[in-house]
Amino acid sequence: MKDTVGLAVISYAHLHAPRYTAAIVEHPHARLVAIVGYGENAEVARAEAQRYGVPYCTTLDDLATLSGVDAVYLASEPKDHRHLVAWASEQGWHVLCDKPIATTLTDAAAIVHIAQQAGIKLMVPFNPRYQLPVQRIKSELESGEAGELIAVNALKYGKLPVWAQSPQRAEWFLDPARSGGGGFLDIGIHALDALRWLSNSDPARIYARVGTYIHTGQVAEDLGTLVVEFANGVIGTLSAGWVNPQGFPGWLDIGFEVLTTRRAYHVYSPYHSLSIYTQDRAERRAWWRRDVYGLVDEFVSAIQEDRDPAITGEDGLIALAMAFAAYESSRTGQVVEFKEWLQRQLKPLSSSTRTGETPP
Amino acid sequence: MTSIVRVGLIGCGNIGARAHAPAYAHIPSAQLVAVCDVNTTRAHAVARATGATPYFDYHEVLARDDIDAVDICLPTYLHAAVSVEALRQGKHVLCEKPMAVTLEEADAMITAAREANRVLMIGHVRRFDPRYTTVKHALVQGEIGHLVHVRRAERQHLPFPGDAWYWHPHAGGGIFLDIGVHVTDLFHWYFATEPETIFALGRQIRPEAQAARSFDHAVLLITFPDGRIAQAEISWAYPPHFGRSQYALLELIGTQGRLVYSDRDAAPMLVYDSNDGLDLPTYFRFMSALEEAFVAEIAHFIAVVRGEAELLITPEDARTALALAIAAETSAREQRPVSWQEVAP
Repeated sequence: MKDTVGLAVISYAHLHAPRYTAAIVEHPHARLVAIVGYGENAEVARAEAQRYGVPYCTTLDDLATLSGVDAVYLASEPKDHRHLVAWASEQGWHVLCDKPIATTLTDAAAIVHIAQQAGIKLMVPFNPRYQLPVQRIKSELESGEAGELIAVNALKYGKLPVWAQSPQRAEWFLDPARSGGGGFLDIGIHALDALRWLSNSDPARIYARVGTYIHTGQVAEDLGTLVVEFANGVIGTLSAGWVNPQGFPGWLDIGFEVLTTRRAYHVYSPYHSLSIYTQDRAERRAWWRRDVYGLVDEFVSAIQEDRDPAITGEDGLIALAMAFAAYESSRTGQVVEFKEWLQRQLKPLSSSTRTGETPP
Repeated sequence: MTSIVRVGLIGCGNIGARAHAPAYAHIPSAQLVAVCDVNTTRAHAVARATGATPYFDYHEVLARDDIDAVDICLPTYLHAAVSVEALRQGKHVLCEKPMAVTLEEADAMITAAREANRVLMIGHVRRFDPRYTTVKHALVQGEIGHLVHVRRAERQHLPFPGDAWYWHPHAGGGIFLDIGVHVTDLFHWYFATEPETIFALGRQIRPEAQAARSFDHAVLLITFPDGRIAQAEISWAYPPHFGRSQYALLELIGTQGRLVYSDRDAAPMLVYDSNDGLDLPTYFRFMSALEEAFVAEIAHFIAVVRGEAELLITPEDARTALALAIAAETSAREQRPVSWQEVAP
């Protein structure tokens, strides 16, 4: 078993990048090797590299010349994921690919295929799987302590990304060609994966309404509400989007309401938080993001133990497909039969998933 | 009418005896003169508590010429027949929700009220509950801009045995009718426009629901014009003791902000008891509505009867709530979205 896994961070486009870099630095069996300033926010990436005392690379070729890299964390714009996964797999490096896995199902399927062919670990970090209350619920469902799962309501509301008080620019989040969609996809996708994980089943039917209600003309969508019936009968709902007003104390509002035949769980604040009030501001701030550390730990452990990570590329693909099925249902007003729909989406792609190149 | 409105209460069960009967003491312009239940013990008990005369056959209440109005708190399947009969006898009618079990019944009630030229009001008590009227006021004032999304939950462990009428599809209508009309009326009230489509999933979780072949857990998604969304979870299948301080939840998203209410907000104290553990004590006798809401509801009905007010909830509004609840159940049973046009008047 490798004692230490060398990790490079590629791109600071995503607002998650600083948090993951910090978790990598903190992890006893991970070593931050370098940071690459790929795409947006290269100057922030450079500053972070300096802060952590690791090499800063302006190109992928620069990174390829460094030794000690075993894996990369991709925090690029999702539109670049396919190219970057293909490139990393050529180096033989494992990939922790931030969500969404891609901006299209074509690319998502290609990414999964590339990783399989190259034999690299591919993981997509979905936070709820490492939020302690959600983990507790999952374990009580698995042990049978909680009885049978009946229903899960998930909520995920955030603010418009460009409102972030961050040196990182976030305009690309608003462009679906770069990000894959709008607010429902951006923050809802974590909960879509969580619904599937908690239900321990795959979606059978999806019905949803997705649209732009608040930030008209600025975003692909800012709110979506979905009902999903899983193959095993579990009911899931999700309401998610960029709907928190500026006055919301903090950034995210996250909720999970879980009903089983024996218990009801309400999680309205999965993070360990505190509140700060000043003359002009109220803020609820997480002081322990155990989830990010848990995700990095899982990725590092999967590499060390040479096993599949707990969240695979396929999980990333299905979560993306659930969001796109919600778009489809909203567009047609009909229920989407998920399995058949996904097969239809992926079938014409099977010939184009063989390479890392984006088809013309 | 400027004199005191003389009222006969028909049905002295849970809601009649505990919520409606005591309310009249707080309404100076009304007098409860008769109370009726086929269960003589119940009728006597409410008569003793209120000073009204007990009856065991509602026909005798309707036959009294000195009674102006009846307050019907019967099981849902009796609402239409007794309301229509009362209206035809010239009584004004306040009838508990749900309006009826079928839309044909609801339409017959509306027709009877029109033909008799009498007031028909359905007791959608949420419309008189200070929590929900405060929210409505904030919406009308535009405090969160234009309403785009409502999430509602009403959930508990229904404490009634399996032979209670609530569970039965043709008597109480199960969760879709009994609680469904509360949430659909709230959606219709808040969006203040006709809906477009209804989608729902239903489950039969508890043995009582399975035996009755009715639903006790459901999720609803109702869309309004411009894709605006109302989502609800309604359930009697929560664990025993759930409810009380956790019963209701209401979250609104507007173009300019959010509004969030939960019953936890109405239970602002934690108590640790060495026997019972942790509890959030509530300050209302009922889990889902304030006593003051019932007083306000009945006082409003009395004011309308006296010609002092216009109905805040018309029979057509109540029909809409019922139609949406029925459409939700149809959606759940037939596994398809239901268009409002299918159930619209």
